[in-house]
Amino acid sequence: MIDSTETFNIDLGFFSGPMDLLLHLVHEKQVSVEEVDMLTVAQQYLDIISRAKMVDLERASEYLVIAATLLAYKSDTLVKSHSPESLEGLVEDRSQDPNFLEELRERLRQYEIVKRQSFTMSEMPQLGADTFSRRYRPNREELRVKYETDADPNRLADLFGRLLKRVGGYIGGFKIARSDIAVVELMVGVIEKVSRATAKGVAALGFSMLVAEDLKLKLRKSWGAASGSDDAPDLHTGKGTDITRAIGYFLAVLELVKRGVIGAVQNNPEDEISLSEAKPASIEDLAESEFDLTQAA
Amino acid sequence: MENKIKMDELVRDVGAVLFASSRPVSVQKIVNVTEADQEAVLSALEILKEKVAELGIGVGLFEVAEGWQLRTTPDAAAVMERLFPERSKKLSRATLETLAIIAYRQPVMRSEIESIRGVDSSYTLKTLVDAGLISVIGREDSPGNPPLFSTTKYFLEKFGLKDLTQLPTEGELEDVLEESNT
Repeated sequence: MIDSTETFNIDLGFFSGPMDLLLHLVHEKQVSVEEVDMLTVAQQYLDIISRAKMVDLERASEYLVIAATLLAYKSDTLVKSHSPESLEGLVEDRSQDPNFLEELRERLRQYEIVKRQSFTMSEMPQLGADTFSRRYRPNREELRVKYETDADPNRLADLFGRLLKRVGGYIGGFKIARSDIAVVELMVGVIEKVSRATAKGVAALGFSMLVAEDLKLKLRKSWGAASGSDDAPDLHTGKGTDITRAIGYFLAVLELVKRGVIGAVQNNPEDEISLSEAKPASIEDLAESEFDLTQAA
Repeated sequence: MENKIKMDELVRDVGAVLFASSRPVSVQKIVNVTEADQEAVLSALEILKEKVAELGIGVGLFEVAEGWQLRTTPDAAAVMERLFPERSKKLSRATLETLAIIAYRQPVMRSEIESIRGVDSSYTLKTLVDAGLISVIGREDSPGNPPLFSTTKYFLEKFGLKDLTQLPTEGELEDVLEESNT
């Protein structure tokens, strides 16, 4: 067990996130989330974060968000306790302060329940791991997606070179920011739209139509039509579409093609990319392929 | 006496149906193929469950995913591990947390999941969708129309649950203090 008071450099990789760490600090004290002194826990958390090895950049931000909030709370409390009247009006009124730690306590309460639930679930006998059934599964090969392409890395390099020329030879400084859109949600959107198109009898859905901003009117007019009409979004110039969403959708399409859920065809570079349903189309079928146990020796 | 013979035959038929089926079979399906009435089928299932257990052959009759299925018993897990060394990997802690949140609170949005866990959960969601354990059952009526996630029928199969009401309740949850000490 990790004793945070003795360990100088805690490996945060052990925890699944700031809530996990906070909960651990509570349990260490052998008291319940209800009874624990949140102020002490908060201080301990800040101590650990300041000393910890932030190896995983992605996770670091999540730990830091909580740390920053705790710090802001701490400094506000300190200021208020030392000179309440003179600084009135200068210090932002955080009259909900006393509730902040209580909010955190409530979050920990919830999280503790989730941890217990997930631990209980992990102990349940699982199909394909602890218990097995007879399953007929289609041969693994049938599920494998057939990639037909004459693309090669040199071609990719060539295209990238052309792209660089178009943007003036270099890619300037850029900001990394978290997007509101998760690729998994866009993947869901792609499946929905492609299914709808298929249901309407349309052979394939154009990628540019997928990302078209004005969905209602323009799509109805030209389901699956090749780009070229005035209304169609232009992925070259970014007109009529939100580039971030377009990139997100592109990643979603790549993921879905990889999984064999949809097929994508582009005849020539810069042509429209046509999307259609592939087999298998159901999530259940994908799940079955994970358990290919028919050929046990 | 005739009823007993009929029941014996029904138990035999139900056994055959379940043995030959790879997925859980619903009572309705059994009723259709055996041409018996529901009450009789339910009795036959209970009898079959006992008979199979008595055999002590590492096989049991389980009620899962709104159907019935013959499966190996968990106490034979060790030998199954040697038989199928490439058996499915268990889910990671993070993925399981996300799954637990969805299982117990469905339908739920990604933002709700992330607010509880305190971390980005899109990777775990992708893993769970991939594994066929969750799917989108609609969209929230708010800006952006974010998808709502729920567990699938396959989730019930995987965890050996008859239906969602069989999820362990508060009193049955394991004490997580044990886990943090390992």
